[in-house]
Amino acid sequence: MCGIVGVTCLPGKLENPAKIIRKCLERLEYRGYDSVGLASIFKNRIIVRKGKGKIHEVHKKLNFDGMPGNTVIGHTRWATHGAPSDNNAHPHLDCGSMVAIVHNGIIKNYLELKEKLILKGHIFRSETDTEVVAHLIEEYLNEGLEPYTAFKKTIKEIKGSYAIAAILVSEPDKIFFAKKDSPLIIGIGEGYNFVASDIPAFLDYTRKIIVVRDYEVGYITPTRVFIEDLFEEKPVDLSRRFRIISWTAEMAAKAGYPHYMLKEIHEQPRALRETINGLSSEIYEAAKMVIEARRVFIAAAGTSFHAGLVLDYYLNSLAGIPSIPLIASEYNKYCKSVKPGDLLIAISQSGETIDTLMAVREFKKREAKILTISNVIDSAIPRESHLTVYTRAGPEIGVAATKTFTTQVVVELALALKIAEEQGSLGKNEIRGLKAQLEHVPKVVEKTIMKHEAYVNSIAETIHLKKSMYYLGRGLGVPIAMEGALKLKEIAYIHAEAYPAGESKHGPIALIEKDFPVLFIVLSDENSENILGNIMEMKARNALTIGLIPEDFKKFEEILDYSIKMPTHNYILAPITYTPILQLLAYYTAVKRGYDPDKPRNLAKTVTVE
Amino acid sequence: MFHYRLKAVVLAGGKGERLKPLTDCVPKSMVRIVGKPVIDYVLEGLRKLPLDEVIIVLSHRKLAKYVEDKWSNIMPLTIVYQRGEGIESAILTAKELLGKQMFILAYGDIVISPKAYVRTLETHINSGADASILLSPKLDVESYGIAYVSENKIVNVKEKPLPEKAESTLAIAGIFVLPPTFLDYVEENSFTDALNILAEKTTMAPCFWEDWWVDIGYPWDILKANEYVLKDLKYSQISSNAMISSKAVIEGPVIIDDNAEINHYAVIKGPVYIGKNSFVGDHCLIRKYASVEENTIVGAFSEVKYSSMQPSVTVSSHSYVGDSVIGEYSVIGPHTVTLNILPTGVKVSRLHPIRIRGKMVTKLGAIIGCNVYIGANNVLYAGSVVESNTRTRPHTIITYREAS
Repeated sequence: MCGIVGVTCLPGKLENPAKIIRKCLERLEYRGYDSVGLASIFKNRIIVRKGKGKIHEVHKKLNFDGMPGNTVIGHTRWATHGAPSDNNAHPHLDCGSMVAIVHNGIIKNYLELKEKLILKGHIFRSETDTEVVAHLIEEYLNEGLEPYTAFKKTIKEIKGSYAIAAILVSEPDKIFFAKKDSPLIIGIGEGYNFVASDIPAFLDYTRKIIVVRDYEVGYITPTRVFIEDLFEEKPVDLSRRFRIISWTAEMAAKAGYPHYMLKEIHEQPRALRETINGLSSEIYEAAKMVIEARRVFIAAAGTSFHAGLVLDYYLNSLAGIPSIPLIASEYNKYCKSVKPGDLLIAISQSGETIDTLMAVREFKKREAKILTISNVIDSAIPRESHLTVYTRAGPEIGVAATKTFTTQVVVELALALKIAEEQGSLGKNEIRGLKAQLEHVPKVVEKTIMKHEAYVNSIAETIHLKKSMYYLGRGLGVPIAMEGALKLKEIAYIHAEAYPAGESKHGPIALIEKDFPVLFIVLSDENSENILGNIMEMKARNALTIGLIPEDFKKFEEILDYSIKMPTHNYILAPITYTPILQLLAYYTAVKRGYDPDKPRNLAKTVTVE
Repeated sequence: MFHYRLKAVVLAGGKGERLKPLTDCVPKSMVRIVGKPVIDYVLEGLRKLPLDEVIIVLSHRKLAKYVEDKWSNIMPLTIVYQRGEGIESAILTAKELLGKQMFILAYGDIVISPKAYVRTLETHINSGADASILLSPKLDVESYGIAYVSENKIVNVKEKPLPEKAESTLAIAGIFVLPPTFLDYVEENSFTDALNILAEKTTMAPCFWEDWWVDIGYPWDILKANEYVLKDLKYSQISSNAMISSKAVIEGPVIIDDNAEINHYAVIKGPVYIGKNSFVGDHCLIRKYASVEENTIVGAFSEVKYSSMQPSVTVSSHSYVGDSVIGEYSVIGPHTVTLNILPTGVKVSRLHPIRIRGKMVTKLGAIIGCNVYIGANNVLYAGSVVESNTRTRPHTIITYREAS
C-alpha cells in the first residue's frame, strides 16, 4: 500500500506548496516508506523529484522544498509491483512528460495494457503497474480528447484497486482523481484544496473533508471540487458529503513522545473513555442482529483477529452464543456453507483491510448480514456493512495496533453484555457489576501503565537479546498472549509464539532450554491452578519465567522470575488491562534493539493487498 | 529551528554525600565518565539550545576553574557560587540573573544524550504548556522525583516515594522548562511543592525519554553510565599518538586516547575506554565497559572488568578489578583481588540482580576513595568501601561494609 497526496492553490495562497506536500507525506509515511516522490507544474512543464528511501533521506538528497509550482502531487510507496528503486518510485510520467500520476492500489490488467501501449510506441521507464495510467492518458490526449475526458476514459479501462491523482500540463491548476477500493479524501481550504489517502495528511491546513467513494472520479481546482459517478457521469451533490473533523493536529503529532507507538499506548485511557462514552443505540441494534442470526462468523486479520477471538470468548461465555472466528484471508474455506440468515462480524481498524473487505463481499453475496467494528468513519468496510459500531480511538499512526485493539474489546464487551441482558444469559447483578467495572477501566489502565512502565522496561532489558520467546495463556488469556507475541514479532523482530498453555506438553516444550523466556498470562479464572502447573513445567527446565498475574496471587509471585502485578478485577476485562503492558514490553524491547517501532520493516499500517 | 532565546541554569553545587568517598577530592560533576567529567555531558546538551546565558551554580573552585577553562569560549557562561544548602537555595542563587522569562533548569549530575535537551525544549514549544519536564521510567522510585501523568499532563510530583506507595514510575530526568513564577514559589516552598503548585495552577507537559540516562548519585551509577556511553560507540577511535604493540589484541569498539600505551599480549575486549597517557601492561585483560581514565597504569597480568579507574590510578600486576570504582591517585598493590558478587539478600539502592547462567545475582565490587594505598595480596569483599587516604597492609582482607 502507499500514500498519495496533492494540493492545488491560488498563487501566493500557500507558501511553498511543495514543502507542504512533503510534510503531508511525512504524515502518511505509515502507509509505506520505501520510496518517495513529488511532481509539480511550473511554467508549462512537469518537474519530478523522486527516489528510493525514507522521506527525510530522499529530501536531503533532492530538496523537495525547492520545487516551484502551485499544483503539486506526492507519493510515499510500499512496493508491490517492482522493487523499491528510484525508477519505480512515483510520480510516473508519460513519454512526453505532460502527465504525472500517483497511485495507491494495484492495477490488475496492467500487463495487457502495457503490451498494447508498447506496440503503439510508448516507452516505459519503470516496472510498476501505475505507469500504464500515464501512458494511457497520453494516448487519449494524442487522439484529441479533452484532458478530463481522457482521464475518465483511462480510469474506465483499468481494473483492480486504485486511488489516483493526476496532473496535466495542459490543466495547470487541476488535480484529477479517481477511487476504487483504496481510500481517498478531499480536504477543502480557502483558495486551496487537497486530495490525500488519509485525513492526518492535511490536518494542519483544513478540517473540512469529503470522503470519496468507489467508482467516483473528478478534479479539484484551488476554488472548486467536482465529483461524479464514473459510469453514470452524474455529478455528486457535495453539500451532503462535507464533514468537519474534530481531531486536532496536536493529536496527530507526537506531542512529547519519542514514537507514535508510545504515545498511542499512553493514550489508551482517553481512547477507552471516548469509546465507552460514544456507545449508543447501535449496540442495541447490533445485539439484535447477533441474537437473530442463524450462525455468527467473525472475520478479521492481524491484531483485529485477536480482538475477534476475544469476541468469540465473550459471545460464548457471557451471551451463550457460539461463534466461528476466522482469519479474513481464509474466508474461502468458510463462505461455502454460508446461507441467508447468517451473520458476519467484521473487525477492521482502518475499515480498508482488503482481506476483511473481500470476506465481507463474499458473505454478502451469499446473503449474510454484515456487522462491522471499525475505527474509521465511512471507510470501505463500514460502507458495505448493514451496521457499523465505531471505536473512538482517534487516528492511529504507529503501524503496530495498540489503542485500537483495546477499544475494539470495549465495544465487544458492551455488545456481549447487551446480548446477555436481552437473552437473560447472565444475572442482573453480574451484568451490573461488569458494566461498573467497564466504566472504570480507563482509569485502571492509566494506573497500570503508570505503575509498571519502569519494571516492564527492565524486563525488556533482560529479553532484548533473546532470539525466541513463548507467550502462554489459557481461556481468555490465549488471545491476550497471541496479541503480545504479535507485538514482539512485528516491532522487535524477535520470534515469538503464543499458544494455549496446555499445548506445551504436546510439542513446544521441546524447545525450552536454560534462560528461554516464557511469558504467562495468568487470570483470576477457573484456569489458574492449571497454569501454575504449566509454569512449574517451564521452571523445571530452567526457562526464564515472566508472568502477568493478579495482584493477590502470592504463590505465583514466589515462583516466577519476574511478575507484573495486575489490578484485581473481573478477569473478563483482562484483554483491556493486560494488553497495554505487553505493548510496552514490545515497545521497549524494540527500542533497546535499535529499531524504530513506528515503522517496522516489511509492514504497512493498512493492508490493502490480498 | 527555535525562535526563542532563553537562559539556562545548571545545578552543580552540593557535596555529593551519596557519592562519597569518591567526592572527597573532586566535586560530583567532575567525576569522569569515559574520558569526560559529568558536567561536560550536561553542557554538551545545553549547547544544542538557543541560549543567551548559561548560569552554573556550583560550590567547588576546582569545578569553576574547569568549566571556565573549557567552556567559557564555547558558550556565554556565568559562574556563581551556591548560597546555602539544598536545591531550593541553589535555584534561588540564580534568581536575579534569570530575570522574568522562561528558563531551562538542568541538573549538573545527569549523563544523557544531548538529544534529550532538544526534545524537552521542542516539546515545550509544541505543546503550548506553561512548563515541561523530561520524564523517563526508572525502577528505583525511592531515589528519584516521580511524576504522575494523566491526559498528557503532569498531575503531581512526589519526591522519593516508597515503592509500595508509588503510583507512577516516571522519574524526573533532570531537564525542565519553567516559567519565572516558579522562582517565587521556590522562595516559599520546597522544590517538589513548588512543582506541584505549578502543576495545579498551570499546565505542565511531560516529555518522554525512552532511551538510557543516568543520574550520578551513587558510585555504581558511574559504572552504569560508562556502560551506556560505551554501548553507544559505533566505531573505534584510536589516537595516532597511541603506542600499541603489534602483539596486542583489540576487538570491539574502543577509544584509545593520546599517548596511551598498550603492551605486548594485552587483550582489550571492547567497548572499552583507555584514557590519555595511560599504560596497559603486558598480558593484561581489559574487558567490556571498563573505563581507564587518564594517567592510569594497569600493571602486567592484571584483569579489569566493568570498572571505572578515575585519573592517575595505579593497579599493580596480577590483580583483578571487577565491578569496582577506584578514586583518583589510588594505588592497588600486586596480587590484589576484588570479589564482586554480593551475598544473596543484600539490597543496594539502584542495583538490581541480573540473570547469569540461570541464576539471579547482584554484582558489585569495591568502592575505593582517592589517595588510597591497598597493599599487596589484599582481598576486597564485594560491596566493600575503602575511605580516602587509607593505607592497608599486605595480606589484608577488607570485608563487606554496607555500601549505602
